[in-house]
Amino acid sequence: MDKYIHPELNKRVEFFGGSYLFVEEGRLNYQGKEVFYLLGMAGVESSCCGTGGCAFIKVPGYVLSWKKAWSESGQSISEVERIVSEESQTAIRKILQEKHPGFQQIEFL
Amino acid sequence: MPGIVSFGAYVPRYRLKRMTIFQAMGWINPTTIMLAQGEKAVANSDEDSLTMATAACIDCLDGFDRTMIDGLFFASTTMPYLERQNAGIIAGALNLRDDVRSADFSGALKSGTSALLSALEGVGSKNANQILVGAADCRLGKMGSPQEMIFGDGGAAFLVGNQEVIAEFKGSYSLTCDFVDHYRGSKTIFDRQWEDRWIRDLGFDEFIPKAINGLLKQCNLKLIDFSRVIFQCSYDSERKNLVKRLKLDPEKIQDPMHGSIGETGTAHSPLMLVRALEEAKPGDKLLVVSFGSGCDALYFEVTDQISKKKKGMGVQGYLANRADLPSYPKYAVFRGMLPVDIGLRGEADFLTRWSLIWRKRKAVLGLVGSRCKKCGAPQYPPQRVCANPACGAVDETEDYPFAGKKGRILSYTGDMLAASYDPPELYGYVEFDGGGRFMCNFTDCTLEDLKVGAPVSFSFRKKYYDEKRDIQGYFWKAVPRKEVA
Amino acid sequence: MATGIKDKVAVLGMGCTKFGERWESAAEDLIIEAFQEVLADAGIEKKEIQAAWFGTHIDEVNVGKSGVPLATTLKLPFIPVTRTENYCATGTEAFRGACYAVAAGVYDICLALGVEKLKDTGYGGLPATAAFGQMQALIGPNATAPGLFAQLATSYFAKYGIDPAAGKKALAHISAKSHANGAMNPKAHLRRPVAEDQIINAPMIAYPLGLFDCCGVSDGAAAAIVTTPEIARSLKKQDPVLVKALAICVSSGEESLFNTWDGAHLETTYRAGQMAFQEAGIKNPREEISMMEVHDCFSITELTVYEDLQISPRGRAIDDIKDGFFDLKGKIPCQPDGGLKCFGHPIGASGLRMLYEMYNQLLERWPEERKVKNPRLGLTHNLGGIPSTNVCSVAIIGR
Repeated sequence: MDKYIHPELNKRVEFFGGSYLFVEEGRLNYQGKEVFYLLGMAGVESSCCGTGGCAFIKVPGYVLSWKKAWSESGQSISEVERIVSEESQTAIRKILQEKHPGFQQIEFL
Repeated sequence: MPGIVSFGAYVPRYRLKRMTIFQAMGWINPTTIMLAQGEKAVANSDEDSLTMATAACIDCLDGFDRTMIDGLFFASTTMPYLERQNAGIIAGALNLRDDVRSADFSGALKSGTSALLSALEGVGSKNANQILVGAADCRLGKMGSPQEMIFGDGGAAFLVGNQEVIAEFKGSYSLTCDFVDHYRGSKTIFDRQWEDRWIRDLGFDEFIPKAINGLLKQCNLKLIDFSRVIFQCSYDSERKNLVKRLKLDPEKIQDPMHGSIGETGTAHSPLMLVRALEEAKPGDKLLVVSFGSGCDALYFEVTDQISKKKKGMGVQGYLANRADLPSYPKYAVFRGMLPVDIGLRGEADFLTRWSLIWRKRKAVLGLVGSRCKKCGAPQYPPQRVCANPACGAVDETEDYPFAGKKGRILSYTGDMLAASYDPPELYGYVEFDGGGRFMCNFTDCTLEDLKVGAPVSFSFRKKYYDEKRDIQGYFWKAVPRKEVA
Repeated sequence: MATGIKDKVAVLGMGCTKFGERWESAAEDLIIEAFQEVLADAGIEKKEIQAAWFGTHIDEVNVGKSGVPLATTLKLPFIPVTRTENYCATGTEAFRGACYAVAAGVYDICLALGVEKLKDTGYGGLPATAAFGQMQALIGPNATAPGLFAQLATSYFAKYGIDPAAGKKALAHISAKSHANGAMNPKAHLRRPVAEDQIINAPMIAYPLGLFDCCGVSDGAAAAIVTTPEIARSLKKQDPVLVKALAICVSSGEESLFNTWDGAHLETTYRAGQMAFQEAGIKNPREEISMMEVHDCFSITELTVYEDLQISPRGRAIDDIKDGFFDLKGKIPCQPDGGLKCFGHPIGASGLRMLYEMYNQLLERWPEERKVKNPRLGLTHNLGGIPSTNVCSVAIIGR
C-alpha cells in the first residue's frame, strides 16, 4: 500500500528543458478493481539532446482509498496498490491506449 | 536433376486490417469496401524489398553452407536502387563469396519465377552448383486505392542445385506479352492500372490457361496429375472462375493468402510455392504460374528429400509472428506517403562515404567481426588489436560472422527524443552468445518487450535514408525472441 | 621517479560566468566575462600570464579551432595558447595542461579557460556531430545522450535487483537535492526547487530517465589561474588552495568490445578515482573527501559515480541517498552549487565551473546557507562519451 499525493491539475511544473502539467484524473475498472491514472502533457525544449514533447499517462495503481487525507500544502492523498503484474500492465496499457489515442507514454509508478 | 534444395519465406510482423484502411480512406473511394476484408502484411518502417528478400534468404539457408553458393538472383519491382546492384547488397548481407554471379531481375511481377527459372537453368547447365533466388516486393497503391487494399509485403527464397533436391524441376513454359494491366514509369512510385474487367477477361482469363495448357502439352501431362496448382491472380472472383473453367479440383488450388498477407507482387507465386512445399509430400507434383507481362509456368516434383528439410520459420512461422498496426496514418508515414515532421534532429545531414563503406563492407553489410586467434575472444566491430586486456595481440585475427548468432540484452532504453518514425527509439547493448557485444537498435518490438537478459536474434534492416542524395543505408538490428534455440 | 601533482600547484584565482541561455552573448563575450573575474580574483595583470590552455569541444558551432580564438579575443600578447578537447573532460584538461606546465617548472603563471556557446545551433540539444567517429555513425543506433545513459539505469536496476519504483525515488532525490542547492546560486541557470513527487510524476525522456533526470544545454565559461605555491603565498595573504590530484582515465575498448563490463557502472570513474586518491594520498575517500562536484548529466550517472568513487558500496548507493549522505547538510555534499542539473552543460566550461565551486567552498566565501562545513578536500569529476566508451577526469583540490 502506497500513499499517492495528487498533483494540482493544470499547474505547470517548469524545468530547464521544458515543463509538464496534468490535465485530467481518470479511473477505470479492471477485473473488479479501480485503476487510477492521470493524463499529462509535456513540452521539452532544450534538454541535452533534442526537441520533443509528449502526451503521457501515469498510473499510480489500484485505488484503496480515495482522497481521504491531505498533505501540508493542501494536496489530496489517496492510498493505492501498485500494479506490478506484467499481465495486468499489458491489459491496462491496451485499454488506456484505446481510450486515449495519442497518449503514447504509459508508465506504472 | 536440378531443383529446389531449400526454401524460405518472410512475412513482416505488422498486419494492417483492411477495415482500418477503409475507415481512414473509404470516404474518397467507397467501393473499396468490397475489398475490406481480412488484413495485409506491411513492412515495418525499417524494412523494404531488399531487407525482406534477405530475411527470406536467411530462412532458406538455415543449416546450409553459404560458401557453396555460386550465384544470387534477386527479383523485385520495388528495388531501392536503380543502379547499384541490389543483389550485390544482399550478397554482402549474406556474407557470400566474392566470386559469385549475381543479377537483379525486375520490370514485371513474373520476375520472381523468371529468376527461379534462370537459376534452375544455371545449375542445370552445370555452370553453377548452387544458386540462391530471393524475391520480394513492397508495392504502393495511392491512398484510398483498390491497390492499397490488395497489395501486401513479403518475400520468398529458394536455394537451387543439383544434389539433395527436395523438388525436382521438370519443365517450364513461358509467355511474354506486353499486356499492360498495370505499370509504373521510371519516375513514379504508385502503381497505375487499367480497367478491372479488361484485366480479368483479357488478362488472367486468357494467359493463365494458355500458360498452363502450354506446360501440360510440353510435359505430356494432365491437370489432374498435379497435387497442387499454384497460380497468381489478384482477383478472388476470377480465381474461382478459372478454377471452374479449367475444371480444377478446388481442394488442389493453393490459397493465395489474400486475407492474411495480400498480393506480394514479384514474391507472390514464389511465396505460394513455399507454402505449398511446407505441406508437400514425396511424389507430389506442383504446378506454379506467375502473371505479369506474361507468365512463367513451372512444374516441380517433390522428392523423398523433403522430409529432411529443416523446419524454418517459413510462411507459417512468420504468419504466426504478428502484431496489429492499428493506425492507418502510421502505415502511410512508414511508406513515405505523408510528409511528417520528425524534428530538426531528423534533418541532420549524414554524408555517406563510399570509400569507408567499401573498406568496412564485411563489417557493415555482413556483420562480420573478428576473433582473436590467440585468446579466442570474438569482437565486433573487427579489431586489429585484441580488446581482451589479458591478451592485446595485434593482427592475429580471423573473420567471425555474427549475423547468425543469438544474443542477450545487456542494457536497453526507449528514447523519446531521438528522431524516429516509430517512437520511442529502442536500442541498447547486446551480448552475443559465444562472446562479443555491440550497441544496436531493437526492432519489431515495444519497450515492454525489452528486459535485461532477454534473448534476441539479428535482422538486416534499413538503417538510414539520405533524402538529399537518395541513398538507402542498411545495417543489422536485434529482434527479441521468445526462446533461444 | 615521478611523484604526481600533489601540492606542486596552487590555484591563484578563478572566475565563472552566469550560465544559461546567453542569447545576448557570443562565445567571445563569455570568455571576457570569465577572464575578468579570474584576473581580479588572482590579483595579477594580464601580461603576467605566460601560457594558456583553452578548452572547447564543439568548435563547429562555437569559436572555431585552435588556441587562436582565446588569444585574439583577450588580446593575449603573443603567448603560447593550446587548445584542449577531450569530450566532457575538456575543461579539466585545460586546467591539467596549465598545472603540469607550472609543476614542470616551465612557467610560473598559467591560465586555463573553458567556454562553450551551444545556443546558436537553432534547435534544442547538442548539435549532431560525428563525435564518435565515422564508423560509429554508420553502425551505431540513432541515439541521444539521455538514451545512451538511460541504459546504465536498466542494467543497474537489473543487476542489483532494484525495484524500478525504489530506483526512481532514489534518482528523484538526487535531482531534488541538486535543485535545492541551485536555487540558492545566482550563477546557476535554473534556480527553482523541485519536489521529489514532481520529479517522479514527470514524463519519460528515455526510459527510465524522465524530464528531471536529464541536464540541459546552456552557454557558459569558467577560468582558473595557477601558479606555484610559493608565488601564491607571496601574492596572497591566506593559505592557498592546492592541487592534490589530477587524474584522467580513458576507456580501453574493453568495456564495449570484450565481455567483462556489466553495463552497470563506469569503469573509467573507478580507475580515475583510484589514480586520484593515490596521487592525493587518500586512503578512505568516504571519510576524507569533504565535498564533490560530479558529472550529473543524468541522475543515474551521479548514482553510479557514488559507487565508482568507492564512497558508497557497490549496489548500495540508494541507502546513502535515502539517508541524505550527499545532501548539502550531509556527510559529503554533492553538487553544492546545483551541478549540471542547474547550470546546464557547456562542455568546455563545466570542469572549470566545478573547480570554481570547490575552490570558493574551500576559501569559505559563500553565504552561510550555501556553505559546506569544514571543507578540506574537494573532488571534481567529469565524464564524457558514453557509458561504455568514455573519458573520465577526477581532480582533487584542497587546503
